[in-house]
Amino acid sequence: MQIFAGIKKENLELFKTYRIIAFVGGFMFTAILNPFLFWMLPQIGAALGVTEIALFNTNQYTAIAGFISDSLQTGILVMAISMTRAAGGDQKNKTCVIPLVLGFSRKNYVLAKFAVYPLYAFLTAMFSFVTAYGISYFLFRDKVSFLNFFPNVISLCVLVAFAVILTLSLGCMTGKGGLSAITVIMLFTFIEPLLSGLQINRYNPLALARIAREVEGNSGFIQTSSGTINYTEMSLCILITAVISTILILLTAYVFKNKRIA
Amino acid sequence: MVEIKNLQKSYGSLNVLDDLNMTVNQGEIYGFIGENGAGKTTAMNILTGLISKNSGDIKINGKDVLPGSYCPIAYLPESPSLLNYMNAFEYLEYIAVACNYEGDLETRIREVIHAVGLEKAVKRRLGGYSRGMTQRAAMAAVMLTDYDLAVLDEPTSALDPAGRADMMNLIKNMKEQGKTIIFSTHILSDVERVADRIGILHGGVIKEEGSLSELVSKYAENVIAFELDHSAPPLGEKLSRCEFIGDHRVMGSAYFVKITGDMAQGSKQLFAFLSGEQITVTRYQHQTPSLESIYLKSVR
Repeated sequence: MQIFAGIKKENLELFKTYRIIAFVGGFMFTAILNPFLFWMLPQIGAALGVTEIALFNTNQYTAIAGFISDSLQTGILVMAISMTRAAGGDQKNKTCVIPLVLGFSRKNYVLAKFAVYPLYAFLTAMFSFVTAYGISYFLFRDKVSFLNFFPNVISLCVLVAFAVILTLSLGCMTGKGGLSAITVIMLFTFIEPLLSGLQINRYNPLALARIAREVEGNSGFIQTSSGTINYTEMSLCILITAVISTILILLTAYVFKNKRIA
Repeated sequence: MVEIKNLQKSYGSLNVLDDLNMTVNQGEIYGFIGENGAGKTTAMNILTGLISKNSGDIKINGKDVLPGSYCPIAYLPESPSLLNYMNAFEYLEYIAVACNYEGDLETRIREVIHAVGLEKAVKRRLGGYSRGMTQRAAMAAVMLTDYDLAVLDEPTSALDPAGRADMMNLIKNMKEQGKTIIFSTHILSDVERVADRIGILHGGVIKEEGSLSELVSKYAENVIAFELDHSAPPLGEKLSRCEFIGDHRVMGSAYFVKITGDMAQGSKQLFAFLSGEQITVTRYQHQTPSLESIYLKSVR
């Protein structure tokens, strides 16, 4: 099966080039750093003689909210940069020419990418959340159930997978991995916060970022919303994201099939 | 096997291929020559479905070639880019599975690795290969799959003389297996050595096409070169009085005479003339044009 050859190739590329480290690095960095940072804040505040302000009232909620907020920026930024080669590099350096001419179907060639990277992105986001949760669980006295964060985690994981699909799609269609990474970074660094700030970020994939940040019980440092999740909106956003992702994948396969490669 | 009719390709205002017509027959080696920028690589890229044409028809075994369409073509690019993080075995395995190779994969990979002489480097990462080794590994990928037509863009460009000879032997072996091969090169001696037919591309059109002997007879100049013993008297004046000789040049003891009219008859007459002079001829040969001179004449 052609697609399995492509999946194996993408896996070898991720692991043999050590790109997997960068791919998961941003998320793991925020997952490990945030709980410790929020745990140390009251001590830093005490050392500075400040104890009253909300900034220094941290708990497991704030630690997880901090992790999610940073993941949506640093994590996605590092992930998108690490994917520039997978997204358009093989067209730029022509490594795809020989297999494509020898008979590897173009559709299967791109579908293999979509089979690998979004899954890894989803798992990376999930694993980094588990890491952040585990660390914060041990660091803070008031323990919070894992289920309290369930909607936030699902939104985060789906959104990260979408970001990767978007990066791959733009890269494969244009042959410019760098451009696709920059576009995705701009979307998550400027457009999403702007839409959320203006309170018009609803019923689209980017609204999942807002939903992911709405950590119930969060009252401290990373307070960005009321902390009340609208499950109907979340479900619709996930559905819309799935539909858009499918359209993007099909469109990419179509464009790549007719694309000039040499 | 391959039929190209009125093929046109331009990039903006730059016309790269302008009414290209060529035919490659089943089982032959077609040498594709032309200066840099003549359009050889563009023609090959269109033929392999990598880029689209502006107009014209390309048919392989009667089927149209379209970008992204699958044809049983093996293609060796001019500067092949391989997946540098894999070793040769992994790469060939990937190509074979990706291209639906049916058969004993490992045996076939060992065979092609042996054929290109990479046995000792099979477990080394492709990123550590020299350019010549990369060319060989890419050639192994080309040979791996079940194809009818091989398109080789300058297959010997990165190889040393021994590597070039090996590559030429590989190409000959491919022909013996019934494959059709189109290859481009700037090394005209390689074309002379293996090509059944030759196409000279210039300015986006085929200026000449045919077998080497057809091109030689077309561009032959009826010149006979002979060399006399050093003690022989000069013949220049007598030669200019011979009616069957159009022109002659003298370089030391060597004479180059151009025969007017029928070459065979003129050659006999010249031989008779030299015998009559009772002088020692140390060398006597018909001058045939080299592919290089044919190429230069056809494009100027």
